[in-house]
Order: sequence, then structure tokens, then C-alpha cells
Amino acid sequence: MSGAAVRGATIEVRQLSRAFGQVVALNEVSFDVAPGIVGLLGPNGAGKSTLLKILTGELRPSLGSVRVLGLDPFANPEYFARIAVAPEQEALFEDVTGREFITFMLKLRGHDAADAGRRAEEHLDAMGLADAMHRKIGGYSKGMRQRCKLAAVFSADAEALFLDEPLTGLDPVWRHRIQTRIRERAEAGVTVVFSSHVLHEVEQATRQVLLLHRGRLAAQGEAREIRAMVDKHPHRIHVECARPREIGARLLAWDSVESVRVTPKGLLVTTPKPDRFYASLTEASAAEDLGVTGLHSPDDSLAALFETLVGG
Amino acid sequence: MSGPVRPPGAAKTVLETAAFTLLRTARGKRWMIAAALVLLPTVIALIVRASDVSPFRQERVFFGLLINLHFKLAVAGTALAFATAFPWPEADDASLTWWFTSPVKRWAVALGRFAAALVTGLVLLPCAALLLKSAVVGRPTSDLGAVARSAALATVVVYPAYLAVFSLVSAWTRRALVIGLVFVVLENFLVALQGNVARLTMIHHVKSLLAPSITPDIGRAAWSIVSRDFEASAASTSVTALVATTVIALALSLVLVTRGEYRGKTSQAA
Repeated sequence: MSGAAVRGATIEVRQLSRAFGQVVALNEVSFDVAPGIVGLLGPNGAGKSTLLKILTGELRPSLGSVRVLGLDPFANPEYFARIAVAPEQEALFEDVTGREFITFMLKLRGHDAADAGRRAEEHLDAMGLADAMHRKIGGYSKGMRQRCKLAAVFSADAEALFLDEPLTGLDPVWRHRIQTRIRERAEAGVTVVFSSHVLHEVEQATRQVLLLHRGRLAAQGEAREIRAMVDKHPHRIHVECARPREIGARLLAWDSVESVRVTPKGLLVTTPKPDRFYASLTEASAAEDLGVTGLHSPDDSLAALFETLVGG
Repeated sequence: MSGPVRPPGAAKTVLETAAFTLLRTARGKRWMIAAALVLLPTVIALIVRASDVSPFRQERVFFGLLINLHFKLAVAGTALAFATAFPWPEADDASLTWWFTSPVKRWAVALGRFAAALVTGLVLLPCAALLLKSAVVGRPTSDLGAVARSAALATVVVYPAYLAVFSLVSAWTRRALVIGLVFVVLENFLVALQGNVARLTMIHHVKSLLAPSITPDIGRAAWSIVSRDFEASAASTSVTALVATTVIALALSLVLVTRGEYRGKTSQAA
């Protein structure tokens, strides 16, 4: 499937294919993206990370072309001066402090040491890491690492942001704050590519979605259309928390929760209404400390949807 | 939006990268591996000395440790440990993205990483040669200090060559550690063959740089045990060979890093 051409597009992808040996990771993908947020959605292994690595100039296309901000991305410093990238994994330098890390990244963007240090502190503070900025990143929790990565990205003042699973590991309150921050950037004219395997996360940030499945662009369009299809499938959310039995009993009373199962790290919640569940959890977490430290969504429901979309 | 700041030039990128890498190295574990390798010959020499062996036998141990442990293991091993830290391990944990999506030349980042590894090795390794001498009590007529000083200077020339060769392999393949170990074993085999084939090895040139400091008065008998039938090249030839190896391997590694694609093991494909 090819996406439609968009006037004023900042990202133009044409017949993009990428193979690794015999494995085709991307197969004739075409789309345009205008400034604003676009969700890059697909189950694990769909080709999202490969597409992001091509868009961010770390990999070359095997076939086809990619232009972002009018430039060829691969190993192009002129292009990198205008973008910022948050990789998916807990990819940070363990041996340095949060402040040292972001200060260094800003120095590579041309800021002098004093300015870089000041900006690093501002952005770490905005991500709730004021008290931790002088500690080594190796001692950060998963959520703190994610916020540190995002502080580095936001500090760059880039024209395009590429965020690979940016909400993974964050508690409900920080997920909401980061989503708000991303929307603010988009409203200021920044192009944001938001990759996730969780529809709800993307849906909260944008209506525009690119769906990848098995290396192909399965669909491009409004998130609510996809939502209507996804709601036919039960949605599972893993809630990491310290007191699973107590929290589980409370969650069962919510009408958005179908079932709750205690797991070694917390709870596995099944919900037919994930958007309502996430909203209720954010409200409850903001009102009192529930001890929820992270949310993860297995992609079963989304994978089932993709199978439906492609007739698999 | 893009501010008025301009990304740094190549020289500043190299310096910033080297400084940041040295900071990380000082807090990481690789320098401890290097320090352990560096101290190993001295520790063994001290154990030998404590077992009350004769000064002549201590000299033999000194030359054996200098060639076989210092140059073949510590120098080559330290170079391999630092060279293989980049770029593949960072591609695997995705931290390479921070380097390779920064608005600087890839080759400048790679050169900064090389410079940091060079500084660390050149601080540790020449000292190791001098330290080894301090752990040995040779015969009164043997000036092992002169040999140790030559060894320190030879280390300064050969370590960059090893580092550059292993950096080239690391830029080319993620199996650099295995290939590096094979390289070291192969080099030991070739140097034992003597003749022109041996001249292709870095160990031959190290021995050639040491040879002038070893006179009949200061341990030639002991030296001959680790260098039987050794035909030294001229010192200028050996220095030229090692410097040329450094320059060519480093230049090729920078080209490879600039053009290469580094995809982590955990990356997924459909």
C-alpha cells in the first residue's frame, strides 16, 4: 500500500525497500508526512525500527528514496543538526551523569560548555530529574532513563523528532506529561514521528497513523478508524506496581476492567476499553500514589488487527 | 527550531569526543582489564624474585615477560580491548545512535574514540615496561634499565599500530574480538618462523627496536633465549613500518566507519 502525497511534506518516502540478507524488513513503502505528529504503529518485527533508522540516517535504503527536511538522511551532519532521535532501548552512557550526558550531546550540536550545562539542567529539571542529574545514569530506573533520553531530545530544539517507543517504562503521570510536551512541540511546527506498538499511546498523541505490518505499509490514516477495529479485540495491559493484590482489587471495581491477574512484577489487566482504563489510571495516580511504576502493553490485540487488515 | 549555534568542526569534535570517552573510560571496567594485563608481568617478576632465583635467571624471566607477556599480551590485549569497544557493542545497545545522529562527522567521532584509547594505553603501557624492570634484580653488569627504556619507547610506537589494526577490524566486522585474537596467535606463529615472513609481524619490529640496547654486557645471553637466531631490522625500518601500519589502518578504519551501517543485534526485521 502506498500513502498519498502531501503538500508541504517534511518527510517523503518513495518505494522504500530494505533487506538484510534474505530478510526483507521493508517492502516498497511510500508515504509523505507533513509537520505535526505522525504515529508509526505496528507489532514488534513490523519494520518500525528499520524505517526509523533509515529516516534518522543510520541505515541506507536498499531501494527507493527518502528525503527528510529536503535532505538525504544517511550520515549527513547537515541533516542531523535539524533532527533529534530517541532510540528505543535503554540506550544511554551508563558511566556518566545525566547532566554530563546531555551537556556533551549539546556540545556536539555546537553549544559552548556553559550554555550546554545550563540547558542540560533546565531540561533535566523539566523531566523531574533535578535531584538525579548528578548521579550516574547506570543507577537510574527505567522511567528515569526514558525521561533522561527525552530531555536530551527536547534540549536539541530540532525541526523533526524521531521517538521510538518514548513512553515505555513511564508511570501514568509522566506518560501524560510527555504526551503533552510532544503535542506542544508539534503545535510549534515540529514534525514528530512517534513509533509505538501500542495504539493507545499513539492515539493520545495524534490522529495520523502509519501502520506497518511485515515490512509493508498496511494502512495510513485516522487513528479512530483503527481504534474501531481494535476495540473488537481484548486489550491487555501489564501494570508494574508494588502492591499488586491491593491495586488489583481496586481496578476490578472499574467498569473499564474486564479481568485482572497477578504476575511476578505486578498485574495483567484485560480491558475492552483501553482508553478509558488509561485515563482512569492517570487520574487515580495523580490523586494518590498507587505505587504504579510502569505500564506495558503486549501487542496481541494489535497483531490480531494487522492480521485482519492484511488478510493474514 | 534551529538556533544560531553551529555544530563543531572536526578538530573540536575529536577533542570533545576524546575527553568524554576518557571520562567514561576512567569510570568503566575496560581500563581495569587493561591495568590487570599491564601489571601481570610485574606481579610474576615479583613472585620469581621472592623465590630467590639467581640474577641471571631473573634476567631470563625479565626478557621472557617483556616479550611474551608485555608486548604479546598486555600491549596487544589492551589495544584489542579498547578497539573493540566501538562501534559494534554500542550498536547492540543502541547508544551508537547518539553518536551517529549528532551533527558531526562520523570519522571525527571515530578519531576521538581512537585518541582516547591511545592516551589511556600510552599512559599505562610504557610505565608497565619500566615497572617490570623495577621488579627484577639482574647481574651487576647488566643494565636492564636501558632495555626497559627501549621497551617503553617501542611500546609507544607499537601500541598505536595494534590499536589502529584492531580499530580497522572493528569498523569492518562485529567479530573483531575473535579476529583480533586470531591475529595475535598468527603473529606469534609467523615471528617464530624467522626470515622475511617474520618481518611482516609487529613483534619482529618490537624486537628490532629492543635489540640495540642489548649488548653482550647487559643480558645478551638471557635475551637470546627469547630471540634465538633473531635477525633485527634497522630501527628506522621498524619505526617506519609501525608508523605506516598505524596511519594506513587508521585511515581505512575512519573510511569504513563513515560509510558503514551498524545495526544492533536486537534490531528486528519482518
